[in-house]
Amino acid sequence: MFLLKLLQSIFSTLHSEGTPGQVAAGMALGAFLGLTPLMSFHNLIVFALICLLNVSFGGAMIGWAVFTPVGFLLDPLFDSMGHRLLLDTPSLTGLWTTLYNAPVFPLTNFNNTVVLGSLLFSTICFLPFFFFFRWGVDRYRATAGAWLMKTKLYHVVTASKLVNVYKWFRP
Amino acid sequence: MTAAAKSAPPARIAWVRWKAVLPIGVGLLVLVLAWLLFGNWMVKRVLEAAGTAAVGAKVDIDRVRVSLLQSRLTVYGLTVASPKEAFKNTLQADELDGDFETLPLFRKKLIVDRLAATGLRFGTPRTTDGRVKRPAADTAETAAPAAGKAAAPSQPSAATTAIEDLTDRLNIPGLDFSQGKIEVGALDPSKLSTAAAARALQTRADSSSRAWTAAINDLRTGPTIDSAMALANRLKGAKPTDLAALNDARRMLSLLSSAKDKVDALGRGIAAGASDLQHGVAGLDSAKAHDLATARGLVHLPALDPTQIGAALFGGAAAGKFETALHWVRLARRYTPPGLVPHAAPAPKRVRRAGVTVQFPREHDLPAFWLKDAAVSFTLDSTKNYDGRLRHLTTSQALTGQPTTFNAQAPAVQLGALLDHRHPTPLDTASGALASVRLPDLSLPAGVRLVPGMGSMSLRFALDGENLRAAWEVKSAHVTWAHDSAGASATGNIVWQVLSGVSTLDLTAQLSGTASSPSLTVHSNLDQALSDRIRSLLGDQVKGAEQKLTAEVDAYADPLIAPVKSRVTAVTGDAQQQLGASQGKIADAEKQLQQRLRSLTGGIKLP
Repeated sequence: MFLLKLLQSIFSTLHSEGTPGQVAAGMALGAFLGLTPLMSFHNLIVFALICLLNVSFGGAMIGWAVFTPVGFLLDPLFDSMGHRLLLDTPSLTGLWTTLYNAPVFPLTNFNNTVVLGSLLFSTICFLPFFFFFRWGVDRYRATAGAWLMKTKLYHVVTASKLVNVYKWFRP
Repeated sequence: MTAAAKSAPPARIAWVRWKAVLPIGVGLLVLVLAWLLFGNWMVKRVLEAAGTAAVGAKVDIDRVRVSLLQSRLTVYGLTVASPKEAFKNTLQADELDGDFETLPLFRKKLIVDRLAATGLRFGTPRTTDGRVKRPAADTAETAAPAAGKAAAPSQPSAATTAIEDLTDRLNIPGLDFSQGKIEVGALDPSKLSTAAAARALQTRADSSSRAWTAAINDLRTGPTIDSAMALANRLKGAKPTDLAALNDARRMLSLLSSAKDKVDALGRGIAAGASDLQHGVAGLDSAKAHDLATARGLVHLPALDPTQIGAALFGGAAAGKFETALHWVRLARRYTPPGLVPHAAPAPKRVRRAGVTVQFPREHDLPAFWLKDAAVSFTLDSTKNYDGRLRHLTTSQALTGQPTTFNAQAPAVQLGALLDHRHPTPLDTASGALASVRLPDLSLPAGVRLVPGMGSMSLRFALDGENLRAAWEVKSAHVTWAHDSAGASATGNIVWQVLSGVSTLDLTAQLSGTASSPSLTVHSNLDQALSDRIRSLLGDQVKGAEQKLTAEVDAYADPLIAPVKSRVTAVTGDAQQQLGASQGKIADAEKQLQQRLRSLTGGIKLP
């Protein structure tokens, strides 16, 4: 059922009327949700951006679903990055001390090694992800997209009414 | 796509999806609703997870009630399992009711102005194992931080290490003489200290020998003595008017005096060095005595020294008390590090990797946690309620400027604790004295249980830096005895025969040294009685075992000690002999020269 929903989401997103840029922006924001620990304050902001900005909601869900396991896999790297930044870089201690004692910032859990490492990684990767996804959607629509729309699989998968849920947020 | 569509300009894309505002608003409402419905449950789960991570044992809570409007948090049915004992709780509380400050919550800081804790009970039994196995990465402990650098977690946790190792480090003697036989194991030479001491002394003796020989050679007294003797011979034929010869004689006497001073000074140095080496020789005998004691401890020879009997009987129980105190003090130090250095601690467990959370305290700011004042109501033997006061429990005493204190005073109870982490060297003390209370049973190692009944007990514990000072005293005049369910062993039977008629207990256990090298002494009124009894029952075997051990240690140590002693004697003797010879020659030359001079001048003293 989950796979079916994912396929529906992928098809409906890739074939939506949204521009490749909107789909790619949604996927890049979704990658943020997947790569960083979900129950973090900054993800509330990312989720609000996904809803408010005119990006592909379906793309965001795909990005989230795809990058969640990637986040689990990269946790040791994030931990190491966060450790380096929080504990092994004395020149940054002043910045962390200021943020730690400021309102709201501590709620983001930035002083956790995994959260900070994944947040930094996601931020650095946001633009590369965006351009890569935009190129990918472009290529897909120019090559395999038209052919896939004629296949039975596409019609079967997209026939479900569940697809309509995604259309609420379709750009 | 139609031609019209192709030619039409691209539609302008709006940046904001305004139609999503309503769903987001609904989502926020759902969040508020979820907080109202599940907020208490979420806070309960967070408190349980954070408590479990902090204590290293399961923390369970029946329910929690949070009122953000009233800034009030009430915890019902708190249970904290023991991190050391599987089926025991450290404490249980019926209710914790506190007032917290709301604004600091936006900075993730919990400041509790007032807390009332009621129905606290300690050491209650539980049905499941409450210990939590810490992941290796999470067994974090604050290491001594470098200046300006965050205190990184190190492994393994010192608290855990203390729990696991204190008993091992104390090397408590066994009381196992099952079937009346005494097992004498093999000596492990690597654990004996005589060899190292002998090698060290041998090296020192060789080094001293080389240094003394070089110093004696450096004196170069030979040419001076030869010149003096030659001058003495020349003076035989000299006339009293030969002023040059007289002057030469006076100069030579001066040179001889100077050489004598140097030789005397070297003699004093050699005497001091020889004395040092003799101390080393005495140290070899001490090392041998220590090795004998170590050998006895290693092979679990049931020593007949009453203090060792006391340690064998009550050492385990005493170590357990001290271990527990040390564990909680270590935990307090871990979460309340001195100073304002960034401090890392393991984050609560979650589905993804937990990582490490670092606190960055800032001067004149609030600590991450501060319980200002707590009124505590507790029971000790399920019959009476006692009241106590806990003040300034915090994660940073450098910020609050106050040490954490606890005290409770009642006619029969005096409890107090002070955790002072304001200075670089933390000082933690705790003491408790209970009079006329029902004392807990003590399981002795021989399968015998001591039921002390009503009596008095006191525990004092202090960790000053890494220096330990602790004492545990138990007194009872109504002692009874029982067999443990494990069944009686031969040792147990002996202990039972001796002790079952004893109705009083006067026990004192003292811990000293450091956490890494502790020392335990235990005395009780039962020691001598048991020692005498064991001696009469096992005297011959014990004597034989002791002789065997002594022979083994002699066989191991004497061949090491004897050559070193000889070497020391030879080195000091040679040096003193050479020096004595030089001194004799100088004195002889001086004497001859003075005689010639006197005969030349006719006994008249020259200016």
